[in-house]
Amino acid sequence: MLTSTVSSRIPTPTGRRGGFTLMEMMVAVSILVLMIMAIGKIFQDASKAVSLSQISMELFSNVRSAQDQIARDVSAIDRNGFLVIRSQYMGEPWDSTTTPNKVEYVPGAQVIYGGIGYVCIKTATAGTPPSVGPNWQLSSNRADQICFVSTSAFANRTGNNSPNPFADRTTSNGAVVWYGHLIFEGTPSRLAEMANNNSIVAAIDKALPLNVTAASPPESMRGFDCATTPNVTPLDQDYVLGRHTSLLMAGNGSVATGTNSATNSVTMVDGKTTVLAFTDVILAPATSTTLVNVDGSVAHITTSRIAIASLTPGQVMQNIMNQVTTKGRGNPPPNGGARYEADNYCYRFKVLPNPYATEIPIGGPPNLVNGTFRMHPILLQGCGSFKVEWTDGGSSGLKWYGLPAGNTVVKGDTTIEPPLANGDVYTAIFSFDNKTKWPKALKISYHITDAKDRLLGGREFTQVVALPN
Amino acid sequence: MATMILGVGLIMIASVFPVGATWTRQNAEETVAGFVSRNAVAIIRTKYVAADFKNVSTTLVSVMDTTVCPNVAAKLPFVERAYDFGRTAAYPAANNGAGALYCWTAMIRKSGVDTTNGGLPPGTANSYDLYILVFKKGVVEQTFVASGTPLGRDEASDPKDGGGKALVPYLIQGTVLDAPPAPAFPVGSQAIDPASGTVFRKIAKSGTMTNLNLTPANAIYAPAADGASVSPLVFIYTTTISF
Repeated sequence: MLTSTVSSRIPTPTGRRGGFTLMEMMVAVSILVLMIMAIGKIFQDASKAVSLSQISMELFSNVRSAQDQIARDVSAIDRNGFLVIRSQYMGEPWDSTTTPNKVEYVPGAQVIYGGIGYVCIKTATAGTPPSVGPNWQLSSNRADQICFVSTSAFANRTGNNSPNPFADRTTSNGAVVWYGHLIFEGTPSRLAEMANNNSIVAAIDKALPLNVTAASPPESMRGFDCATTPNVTPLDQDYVLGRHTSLLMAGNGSVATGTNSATNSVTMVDGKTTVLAFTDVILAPATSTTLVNVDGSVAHITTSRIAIASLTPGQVMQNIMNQVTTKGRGNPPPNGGARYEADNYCYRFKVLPNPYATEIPIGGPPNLVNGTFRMHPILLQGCGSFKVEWTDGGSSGLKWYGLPAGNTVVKGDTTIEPPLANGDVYTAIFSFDNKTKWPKALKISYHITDAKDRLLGGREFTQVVALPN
Repeated sequence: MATMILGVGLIMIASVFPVGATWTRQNAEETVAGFVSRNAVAIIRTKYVAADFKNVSTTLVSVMDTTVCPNVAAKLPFVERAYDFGRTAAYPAANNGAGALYCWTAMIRKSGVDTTNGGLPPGTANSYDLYILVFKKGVVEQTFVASGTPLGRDEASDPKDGGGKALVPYLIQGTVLDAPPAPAFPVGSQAIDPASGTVFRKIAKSGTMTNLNLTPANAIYAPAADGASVSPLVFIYTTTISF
């Protein structure tokens, strides 16, 4: 066979060159096909590995940035202020069709309201918590919030109608820092409103480079109409962890730099309230005035920190102490310390029902100078849970206090306030008036998923941050 | 002949992919180890005071050394040094951290001492160089020993001698030369010079792929992982801590 093959390639006396036999061609082609298949498989696997590594690195990078930010803020906590940890559990169903702020377990309820959005559940029985989807165990179902006074260098973009709102800055040496989920109450009416109002969508798109169209609400604030999307799981939602700061500054609104002066202020959409220009938060006034959103709904007042924006840290503390004497609830706290009504300063943490509610009027020109995305900077996307616990150091092993899943007992030597609103579990307050009860460290856990869930459920990260002595 | 050449070429191309995968894995491990390290520093800051390190000198020592840091060794259970990345409860890890992927130990030495006055008295504010050494389990199926001899330079005998059951990482102080009888110390391995506190990483000499010896010859290091019985040292995080 070999002889025959070789001889066939020898030029014949007529000058014609011999070709390959059919068998040779078949063998060669077969080998080639096998090689192509093998190398294709290699490339396929390599491509998959590269994709996973890319999303992992992106996720790691985001988490690292968030951890660095949290570590910087927490490491500068001022014990002359306060530290408030408010726990919310994403297990409280809230029927948006009933009276707001009223918890009801409605048979067949479709909504879980815990502070971070709008989640469909399959079943619920009157008077009992609903069952949850199969992916819920992937996260801790927590949407905690944390707020504290921090003394460090905080930059702030200033002014109203500035031609360079992102360039004009001033700096404060103190701030009230808040971390928590940004929420979007994805009620069907709100979704429809967004879908039908291009001005809002365009304004959001302009404020942040999201791929927003009228048919596609902001990806990071997505909500679901449970009637048409009945099996939504937490992984289907792109929860956003946010951070914002309210600067503590002396004076009456003057700013040191920038094109805006002390006389600038921002008029709230209710037409009644003005906000000093240098605050980067558009909030309700310090009084309990009800703020009405542009869509007519009652705003979830964020923090009522407008007053402290113009005060020094010492003045803030004095105001809090004044409240202790003038607005004390009269009920002795469990630990014998002062129990003060801190609504204006400490723990009225309701985030806005949606990020643009007070800033972008329907049909009107958007005011992006003090835009809502500056008000609530996005810290982490795809953050399905945010859990904050604390420790007193312990004599041997560290004991972490907080609410474990399914456990209603909160431990720790601190003042525990009752729930403030629906979805709340507790509010732990560490205040200036009892510094010995402050924790030694915080344990902050967050569950992160990528947008397409290529990491199959995401990853849980836990960060331990020591508080300054 | 052509097929052979093609095959060789394909094999060469294919051989690139594992290298890339290894680098990616190492990158991910070091990133996670960075998270673990910062947590470790926070835990140490939370649990201990200057008096706990009063016997620490300028010589590098394990925080688990019961003769030098008895309070630390007694109050640092394994579960607080384990980090179960990828699980719902990363820290503290379930089952006392026995199934955790990562764990850490630490070494410490005094720095910033006022030598002109003989050093600051024990218990006063001092500055220490802190080295967090992060290990990753050799294979996922392994179980860390959650009790018994703690981790650290002096904490365990060679796990290979324990029938492959004592899967805790361990540290060695000694030569790291490649030549026998010194243990193999592959490229990428890390070590700390106990005198200077410098962290070394072994690199490959370009071109020849010959391992360069770490200098100095006397260092604190973890033995090379064999994937079955030893957890490799994947990261050394260096910082300064003050009390």
